[in-house]
Amino acid sequence: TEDDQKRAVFRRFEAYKRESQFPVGVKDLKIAVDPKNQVIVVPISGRPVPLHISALKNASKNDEGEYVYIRLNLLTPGQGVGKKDDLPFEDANAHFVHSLTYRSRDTERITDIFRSIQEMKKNAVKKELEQKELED
Amino acid sequence: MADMTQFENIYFNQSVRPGRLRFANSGLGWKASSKNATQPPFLLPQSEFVSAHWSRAAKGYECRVLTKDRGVIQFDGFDLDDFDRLKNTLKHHFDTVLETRPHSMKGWNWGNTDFERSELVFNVSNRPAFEVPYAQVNNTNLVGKSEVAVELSVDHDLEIRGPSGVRDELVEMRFYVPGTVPKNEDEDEDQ
Repeated sequence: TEDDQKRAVFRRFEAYKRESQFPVGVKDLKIAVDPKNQVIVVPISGRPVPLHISALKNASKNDEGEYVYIRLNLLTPGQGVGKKDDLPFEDANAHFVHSLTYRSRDTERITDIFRSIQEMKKNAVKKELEQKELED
Repeated sequence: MADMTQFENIYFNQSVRPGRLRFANSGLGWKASSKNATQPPFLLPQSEFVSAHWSRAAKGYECRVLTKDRGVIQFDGFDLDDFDRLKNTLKHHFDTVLETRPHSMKGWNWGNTDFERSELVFNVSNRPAFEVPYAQVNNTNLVGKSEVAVELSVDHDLEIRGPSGVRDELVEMRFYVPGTVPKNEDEDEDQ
């Protein structure tokens, strides 16, 4: 059937090859966006951790009092509505980081970060669709 | 003069301000550089020291110390060039080998969770991607049958890390852990 033919293949991606590729901003233990490499760098226990945009499902942001919260939802198996919607995974039995929620007092900066992440995701999806069309 | 080795501009457990890290045969000590800093000095007797790893961190390179009863201690802010001196220092004072531990740069969100002595380690293709010391975990919850929510304590070491809001603080992370239940039987039909 046509559905079977559309079965997506898992696309390998890699954020960085070397530690020297981290953007300068990671020093401050704040979230950093690196559109050139399609990477979001998040601080986890004092360590900058790269996340490739292909691993991101979506992001959300909300204000609560003096804090702004930003949540990154990442792709995991079992999120599709039906089995056919499920994305391919290199290892569906692995453990997945499903979401990361950060809080900050810097509403303006987080709003900028949130906007850049959405822009980056939009572009990545567009690029993938174009590539798919070329392959078809 | 006492047999001692010293490193300047070292951050202790993500401290806001740097300090001075000293090694002697009796142990190690960290003290904030600024005279009017409120952070108390940190001392670790040699008997508490277990092992040390060298990795890339935020301010620079990190010496991560595993202790017997005091969890994980992070010293960030070393230069790449400090490696040899730190390695010799640890050999000289503690008779231990400083191991390098490269982290995954792949940017994947899948891998394997290891529960080590003092911290949770998330490994991506056989390299650690990040660690979460248990001391920073506030609470964990099972959300649904294959999801675990880990709440992090943002007030951890408040006097060291400064007032909240100085940085972006991770407050919760969720893991999707596929169950050990056998896969759906009808899965074969798809092939």
